[in-house]
Amino acid sequence: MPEEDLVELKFRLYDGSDIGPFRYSPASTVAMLKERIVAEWPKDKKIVPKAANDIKLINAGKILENNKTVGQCKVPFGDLPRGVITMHVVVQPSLAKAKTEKKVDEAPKKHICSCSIM
Amino acid sequence: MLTPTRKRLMRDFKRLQQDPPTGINVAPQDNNIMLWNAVIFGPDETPWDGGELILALHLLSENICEDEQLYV
Repeated sequence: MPEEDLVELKFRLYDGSDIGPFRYSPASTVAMLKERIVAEWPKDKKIVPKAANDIKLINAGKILENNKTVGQCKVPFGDLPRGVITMHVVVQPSLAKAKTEKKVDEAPKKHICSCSIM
Repeated sequence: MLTPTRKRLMRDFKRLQQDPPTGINVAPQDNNIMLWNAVIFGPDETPWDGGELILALHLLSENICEDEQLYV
């Protein structure tokens, strides 16, 4: 496989730091990228995803689906030969919220019918 | 036709590609520099926290000045 076919990708996190860059073939899927990102996630961050499904990848103004390939997610007007493509990574809220305290109202909910019959 | 507006948009796009800001991801749609897809990440401690705002920006004016800023 000739080297020129590989695409260089970088992933920008919520706090501005980057993971990568890594080189991928255009046939790599988004799911594969996510696995790599989770594996390479810096351990000193406040929020750490546990699995590929905990994160979303965004590029070219779209949220990327797992079954899409890198080649399909190419940026239009993308005339940056040898340029690194930077994608954004967002961690799913279910994971993020687990880190914060739960403010659950413990009072039992009473089901009272409030309609008045005149 | 490459108007100053379109040149400005291409320049902005290249700048965004080289150093993307953290809160947004934006790019023009195929073959149309006047129509952009954008994703804005919900800022912390707002009702949009943890979510994404998915937008399509349709730029109507061909007369965007050099200094003009686009606010969403």
